[in-house]
Amino acid sequence: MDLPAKQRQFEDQYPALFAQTYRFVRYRVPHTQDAEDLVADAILRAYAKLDLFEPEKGDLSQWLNGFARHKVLSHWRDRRVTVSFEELEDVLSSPDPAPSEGVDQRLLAERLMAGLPQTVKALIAMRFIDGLTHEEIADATRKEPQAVRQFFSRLQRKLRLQAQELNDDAPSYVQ
Amino acid sequence: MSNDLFRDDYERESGSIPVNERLQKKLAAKMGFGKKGFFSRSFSFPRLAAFGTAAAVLTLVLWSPAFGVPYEVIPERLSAAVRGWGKTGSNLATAYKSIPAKIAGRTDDWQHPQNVQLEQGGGYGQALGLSSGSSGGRGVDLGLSYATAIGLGTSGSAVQSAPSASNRIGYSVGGAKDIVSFRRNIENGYLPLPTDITYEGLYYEYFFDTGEKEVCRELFCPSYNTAVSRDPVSGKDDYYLSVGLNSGMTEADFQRQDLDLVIVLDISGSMSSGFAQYYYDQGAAKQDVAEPQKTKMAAAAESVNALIDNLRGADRLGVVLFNDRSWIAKPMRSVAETDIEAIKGHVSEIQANGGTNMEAGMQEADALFDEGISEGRQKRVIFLTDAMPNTGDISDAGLLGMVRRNAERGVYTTFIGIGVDFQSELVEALTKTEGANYYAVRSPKEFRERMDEGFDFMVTPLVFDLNMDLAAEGFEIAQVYGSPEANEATGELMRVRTLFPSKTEGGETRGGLVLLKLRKVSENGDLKLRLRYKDAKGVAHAQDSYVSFGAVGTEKYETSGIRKGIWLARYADLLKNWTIDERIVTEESMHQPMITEDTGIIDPRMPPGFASKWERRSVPLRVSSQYAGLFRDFRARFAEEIAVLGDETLRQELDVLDRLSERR
Repeated sequence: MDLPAKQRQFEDQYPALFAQTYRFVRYRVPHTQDAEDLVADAILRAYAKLDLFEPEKGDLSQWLNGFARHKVLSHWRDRRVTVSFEELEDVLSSPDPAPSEGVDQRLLAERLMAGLPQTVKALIAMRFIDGLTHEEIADATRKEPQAVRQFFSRLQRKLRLQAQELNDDAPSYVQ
Repeated sequence: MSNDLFRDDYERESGSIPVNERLQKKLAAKMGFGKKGFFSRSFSFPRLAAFGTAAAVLTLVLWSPAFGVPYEVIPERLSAAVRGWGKTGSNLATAYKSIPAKIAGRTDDWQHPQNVQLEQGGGYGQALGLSSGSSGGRGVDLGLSYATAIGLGTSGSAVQSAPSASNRIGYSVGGAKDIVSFRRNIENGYLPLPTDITYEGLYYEYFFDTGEKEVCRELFCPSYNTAVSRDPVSGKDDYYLSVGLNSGMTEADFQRQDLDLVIVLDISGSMSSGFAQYYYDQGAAKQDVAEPQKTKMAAAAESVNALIDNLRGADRLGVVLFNDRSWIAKPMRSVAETDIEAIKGHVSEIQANGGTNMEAGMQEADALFDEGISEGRQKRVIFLTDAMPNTGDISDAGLLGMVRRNAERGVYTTFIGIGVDFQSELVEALTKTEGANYYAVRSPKEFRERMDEGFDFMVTPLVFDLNMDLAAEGFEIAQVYGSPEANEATGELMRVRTLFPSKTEGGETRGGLVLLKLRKVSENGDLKLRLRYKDAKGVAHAQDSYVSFGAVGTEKYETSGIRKGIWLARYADLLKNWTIDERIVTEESMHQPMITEDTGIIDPRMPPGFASKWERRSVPLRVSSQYAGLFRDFRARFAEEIAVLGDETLRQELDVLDRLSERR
């Protein structure tokens, strides 16, 4: 595929590519203006580098997502998003209960996520959606890998705790 | 916890995020989506595409009134577009873009360089008109609300009511407004130039108690304070006089005039190099740098957009781009009538290439002012560059002369330096001109914050031609600190060309001090001072004052402001001497520090020909054992002073000294 063909493809898919990139970035960058700057940077850069796009290795959505992900991580790395694990103590400091059974785990995850700060949601997305390792998240957040590991470990324990609580009061459909 | 559990939640939540459709359209426009037309995308015959595009353009333009399409016809641009027929399709495409698109009453009048006749010395074919001399001096009516309040321009005018101390404004001198270039070079492992650290730039990074003894009710009220301070190296007493730069203005009084602003942006090839990289080091071993990823061009574009964001609707903006040639990228037009977001988008897209001819850029800016210079408005050129000219005339007859002649007709210049290899020698010379100042960009974000705080002050010089005559039997002026015109001082005269308004906090003014080091010639400690200056209307003012050192011979500081000024001046002197001496080591393989126990910390003397190269190459950061010792000793003394002064912001200088004294 030559460059004009790649450009035509990009233009044809642009509305979907823009929406995907916008939502990807906006979810991971709390400040709207910062997020929109990154979206613009990612899209314009990807378009400018289209000659390097190799369709046989993936589609345009994946190609563009690589730019967006790089922009987001650079943004975090530049300390424009700060995460203080210490400030999350309120969220994570509950006692560690035993795991519960028979609960609709998806609903629990949803309820847990609803109560988390956006920066924590972004971290969770990096870990569980984007597949970043603890080390990569540590690099982006300028934390020690051990602290990141501990954070996710405690987060999982918290989920289990909430599962237990919800299990006690849950309506019948989650029992 | 599995990935799937969170994926459902993530997809639902992220999928509900509303998309910014305006941004979507803006980016689409930047990438040319929907603009290229059927022919240009479907066929490979350039000429056919050209005619197709041109026909579409002409149809759109000619029939727009009938269709209600809000395009504006500008005859000269249309004729330029038509002249492009028969050349290439791309010319016609850009010709289309150059027709200002008026959307919702705002015009995107950006002119892409491909479509503009690139004629060095004026794309519009106008003569410079710099030396007409018809302006007859400044003659600019500032029309500040403050001017009304105190009857500016009338002799002996007074403020109607005493200003509140809480929101007062003071003054700082023109010239450098930071020592960012110095700090960035050290941070990135380079030896700074002596001109990278200026006294006025260093002073502007700090707030000073000006020692004001009465509440000022005038446009300008100098305050005088004295100090006897022991040199930490020689142990000898030095005598100082500070001039505090006070005004009777409050922030509520101050309102800048409407502004005619021309931004001149360097887009030469050197701007494509890293923000923290020496362009002229290409091919040489690279230094480790702190911020290698961003180009100077990207940083400059972000800085331009930060400047534009500080304009008001009644201001007018023009943009000139230059490399080895120059062109008007945006004609002068009021901000209210301009699609500012579109202009900022165009600025962000600029690519760097070509040589550096600063003179050509300034000539084009002059042409914009020549087109419609108007009284009753501030007029300023803001020149963003890495200041590494390699073509053009940068002599007094060239760029320097243009900046000076512009100042004579009330068009003042601000230089904004981009990158670590910013040529401060050249810009230091340029900014000794009336109304001139310069800033360096540490980072675009930091620059935006500074502009948000200080843009109005930056573009509004208020006091001109400040001269102080010293009549004293016992003293003469040895050195002036905190003014770019320091080297113009004589034994009896101090000169400062321009004062700009400056922020005051807690009774202290940012950069609000000029310091005079005095040479004691007799035991008579009395001084008579006559200060003369002009206001923005050109009206001359004069004030006489008397100051006495009292019993000389005892170390004493009348205010914390003069104390801070003295120790910062010594700090700067020490560093300047170091940058000179370390370079002499390279060139002559010998070393004798200029600072000894006999001399104490003296002001530096650059050897003849020392500063002859505009194109700057890096010199690795190094500190000889002699200077490492001097830095350690000075640091200990400076730390004591910081404790006495109680100004923790000074500790950043201790960090510099620590870094240098540990360096080999």
